Amino acid sequence: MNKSTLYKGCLEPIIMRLLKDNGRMYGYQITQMVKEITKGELQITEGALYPLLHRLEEQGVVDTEMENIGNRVRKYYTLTKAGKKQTSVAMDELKMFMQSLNLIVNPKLA
Amino acid sequence: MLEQAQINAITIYCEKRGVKYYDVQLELVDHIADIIEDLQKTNPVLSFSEALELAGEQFSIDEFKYIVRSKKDHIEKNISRLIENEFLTFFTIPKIIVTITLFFVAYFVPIWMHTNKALCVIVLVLTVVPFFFYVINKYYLIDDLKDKRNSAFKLLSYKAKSRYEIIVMVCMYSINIFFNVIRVFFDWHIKSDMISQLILFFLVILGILSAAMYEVRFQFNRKMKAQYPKAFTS
Repeated sequence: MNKSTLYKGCLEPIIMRLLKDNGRMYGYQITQMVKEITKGELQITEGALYPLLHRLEEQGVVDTEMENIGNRVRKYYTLTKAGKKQTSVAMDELKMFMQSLNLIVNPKLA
Repeated sequence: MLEQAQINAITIYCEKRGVKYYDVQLELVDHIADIIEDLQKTNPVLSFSEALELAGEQFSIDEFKYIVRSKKDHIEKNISRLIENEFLTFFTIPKIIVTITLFFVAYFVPIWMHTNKALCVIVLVLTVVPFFFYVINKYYLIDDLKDKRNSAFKLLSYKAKSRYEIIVMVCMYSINIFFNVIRVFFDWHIKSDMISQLILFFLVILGILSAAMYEVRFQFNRKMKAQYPKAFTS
């Protein structure tokens, strides 16, 4: 199975967690930070990142602001109040999922 | 930091890959510019055009299409929500009171005057009210509207808004035409007071809704200008 397929369902909580820890971030910064933290193991494609960010914006999980950076405009994302609450829930769910996954991978732990 | 000409080259690169609208391009242009800057940092001899090609290779054609489609969906949903919210905020308590008053005026004046001439006057006033709202928005609140949209920056948001607006206006005016046809038919042949009053009620509602649409358009322009200032020229 493709590695990116394995990570796909976890992208949302990962991005929310990064935004919670770093305040405001822009698209490219998110991809680079994920790559750096996972030592290149997880690389978010632009085709996965932006549709997800747009969906989170639509759901009111993130807020956006534009800023002029030199000759171009940069779009920053920040978690909304509701988004911060949802991040905690998403992280708990992710932990539970990891525990369940661990039990499947290591049945002796059960 | 990339120069303006280089940013323009990235914009053209995006356009060639089907990203035609400024509000969709904006984020992708910044993303590609970031990749190029990083590539040139690690390899300073790399030319801009070489770096652009390398950056572009990170995106497949499908990826561009997918991003555009998702952004389009997002903008359309956002515009509908924005218009609905603006529409709802238009109906403040004073405006509701004015609407109810207008309704009662429209209801009782023809009864008091025992003539359909009053109906004609009210219909005329209600037709003119939205026009006045438009004039007020256009000329008196000129500070907010003096910046015209720059045609070089196509906005998907405006396309989505126009589509939404056309649907609403067509629905509103279809109802208006329908009731006017009924009015003509009943006034000339049956002279039913009840039908006249019913028509008046809908005409009042239509007049107010038309005014609300102008207000929504004004607020929408304001928000777009705040979000994409570059797409407007002073």
